[in-house]
Amino acid sequence: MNAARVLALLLSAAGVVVLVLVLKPPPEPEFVELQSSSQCLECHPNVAAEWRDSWHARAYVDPEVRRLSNDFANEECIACHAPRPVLHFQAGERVLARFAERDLGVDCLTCHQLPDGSVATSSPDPPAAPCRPRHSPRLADVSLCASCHDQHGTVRQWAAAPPELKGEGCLDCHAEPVPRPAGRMGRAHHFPGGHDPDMLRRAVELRAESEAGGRVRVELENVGAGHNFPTDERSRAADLQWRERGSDGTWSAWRHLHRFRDPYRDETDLTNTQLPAGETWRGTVTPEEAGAEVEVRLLYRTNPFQPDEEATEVHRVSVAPGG
Amino acid sequence: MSGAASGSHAWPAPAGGRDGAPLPVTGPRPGGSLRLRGAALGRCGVALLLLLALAGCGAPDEPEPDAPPAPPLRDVVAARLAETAADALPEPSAEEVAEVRDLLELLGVGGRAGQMARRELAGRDDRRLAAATLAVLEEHGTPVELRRAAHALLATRPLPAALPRLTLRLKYEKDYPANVDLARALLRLGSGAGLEALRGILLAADDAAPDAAAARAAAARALTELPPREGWEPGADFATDWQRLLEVREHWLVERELPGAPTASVEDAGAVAETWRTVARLASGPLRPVDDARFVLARLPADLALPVLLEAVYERNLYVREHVLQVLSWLGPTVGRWATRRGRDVVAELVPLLGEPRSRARALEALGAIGLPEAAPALLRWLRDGGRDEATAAADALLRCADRTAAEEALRRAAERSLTPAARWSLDLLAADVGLTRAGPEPPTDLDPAEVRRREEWRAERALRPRSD
Repeated sequence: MNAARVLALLLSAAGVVVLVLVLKPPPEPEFVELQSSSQCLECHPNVAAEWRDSWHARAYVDPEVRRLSNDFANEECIACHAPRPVLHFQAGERVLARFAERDLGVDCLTCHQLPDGSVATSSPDPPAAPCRPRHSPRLADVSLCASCHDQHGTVRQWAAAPPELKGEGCLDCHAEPVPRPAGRMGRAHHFPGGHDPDMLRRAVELRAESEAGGRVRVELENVGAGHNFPTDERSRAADLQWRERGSDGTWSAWRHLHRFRDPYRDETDLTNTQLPAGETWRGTVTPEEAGAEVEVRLLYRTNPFQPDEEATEVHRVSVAPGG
Repeated sequence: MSGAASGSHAWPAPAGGRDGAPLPVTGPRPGGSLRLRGAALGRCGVALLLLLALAGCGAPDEPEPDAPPAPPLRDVVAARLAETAADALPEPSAEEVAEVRDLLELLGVGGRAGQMARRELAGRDDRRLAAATLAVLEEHGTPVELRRAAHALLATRPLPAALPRLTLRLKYEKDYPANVDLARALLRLGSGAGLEALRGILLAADDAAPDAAAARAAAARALTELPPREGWEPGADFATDWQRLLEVREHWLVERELPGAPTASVEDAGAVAETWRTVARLASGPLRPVDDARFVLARLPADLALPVLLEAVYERNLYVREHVLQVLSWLGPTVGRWATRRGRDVVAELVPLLGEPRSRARALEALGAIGLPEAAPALLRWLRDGGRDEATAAADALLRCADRTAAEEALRRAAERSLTPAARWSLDLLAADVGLTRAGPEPPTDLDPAEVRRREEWRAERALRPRSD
């Protein structure tokens, strides 16, 4: 073999190498198995900011849950307030508590980490990224939320709701579509619920009108919750109150009319008075002065002992004097 | 690590520990993937291979530690339920429950009707009667008078098989007089689980509670039924009775047995059958039965509960394993002390569970909580090699059981990786407790105060650790 042939061979080989290097697909980013949700922050600051604003982020550190759980001495609460990744469990199974970084509450890995360490996305065509996103239909399925939010029956209540009132799943109401980078649409991570006054207002409609005998008929209809109102934690309570304006123009104190709530297990003298989706509660009030102006309001309490001034006023309606 | 506060919640700093080192990366390493590509292009010439080989030379992979073998999981609960079915309390019919309910009501009427009811109840089979009476108690909304009569009846006819379900009543029964009879029934069955209720009633100044004064008098009388002690004359004066209550209660809390008194144990076939039924509830999806079962299992006498729990940890069902390990952790040093008394190598019994990834963190917790220093070598590996959850559980567990030697090794291994603030705090507390550091440690500023306190309590609990020598 002469030098020219050797040179030609080498040049051919080099050409092949160049061709291969040019045409081969870009390498997969190095896989980083996420150990902590704090690792998501760098690439997803906007989503992280939304989540930080959510009650999922406060699930373990919120002072009220600390009080109600006796500072998590009631360990059964930890499983849903600092869960292991839900996708590590079968659909519909309940989750178990994690041991690390509980103060992050219901964090990124809780909903997005897959058993093999990669992350779930609802995008059908996920981009290449170090966290290795993979499409998972479960991410948008009610079973994902059910792992925690059905412990008190919310998902079962939703399943039993009239079809026209319940949408397609939890995300329809609790995670609105928002634009994300690269022109795709994602879901907001604020997850508004019972702490959000607008959500509460959309959930129920309060009506009051005068009827014969000087009475005022009061109705509360569950028009938009898609599940019971209130729902989830047994501590949640909604109270209807009313008051009347006397002939001297002063308002009476607020009087209790009805409480909507699923009692704690040891409150054996109480029954579940939550208002199912689509149903209407009806009652009447009788002012002391016939024809007096009456106001009715609905207060939402995150715990049954919360004083009126700390509760959220969801609705207030008036019935004019003389009706 | 410094947390950047924002709003009401502070993010931890991005991945990394005290030194900001990146978290361990798992999965294919760059060198490995390049070597694969080199093989595919091998026919392109020696120069290319050399080029690729040079480019592909990464650091050699560190040898992965051997994965621990999977533990021998099996259908323990189903097998035990089948074996013990004949010894469990019978399932009463609705008519049977209604009859017992009527008879209990008649007891309250007194007179001839009451005597007739008493005779009728006396003639009934103990097991069927206990099952029906418990069913009355477990019904939602049973009136308080009926509950009092039911508890009084069960106190006069204590049946070991009723022990787990009676123990659960402690969680739900709010009525003082009913609780006095409940505590008496438990005492007669060798359980001190009701002593806290007696103590609470005697201390309560809550005269608004129905029949509070009568309940306190009854509770004071119940103290005479405490296990005897030399030099104590039951009922001679309240002060010495009260002192005896505190002694017995303290002993019960630490040992889950009554001093100098027979305790329900695995010798009671009925109690064992009902304990397995309680364990089976841990598999429930809804948490209420799980909460109930954990409540009971953590309050049964050690000689009854622990042999069952130590067998149930090998149950195939994840939830049963998880919650059995959790109960063992709750009992903590009580398990270690019982094992030492009974000659059981409880560490060797639990260590194989570290081979089950889904139960590993709980197993680490249980091994640490029981407080035996022999567990430390098995924990150390996960401090270095475990994921964040496992490493945190391992550090916490070491705080609860490690001696000075293990603590030194733990600190050495911890220096090889990044750890969560919680894990670091556990190791700081451990180092201080065994005298490896002089000054009292300062908790990390990026750790939730409740998590700080939880670990300080574990440090204090080290005083209760069993002595294995």
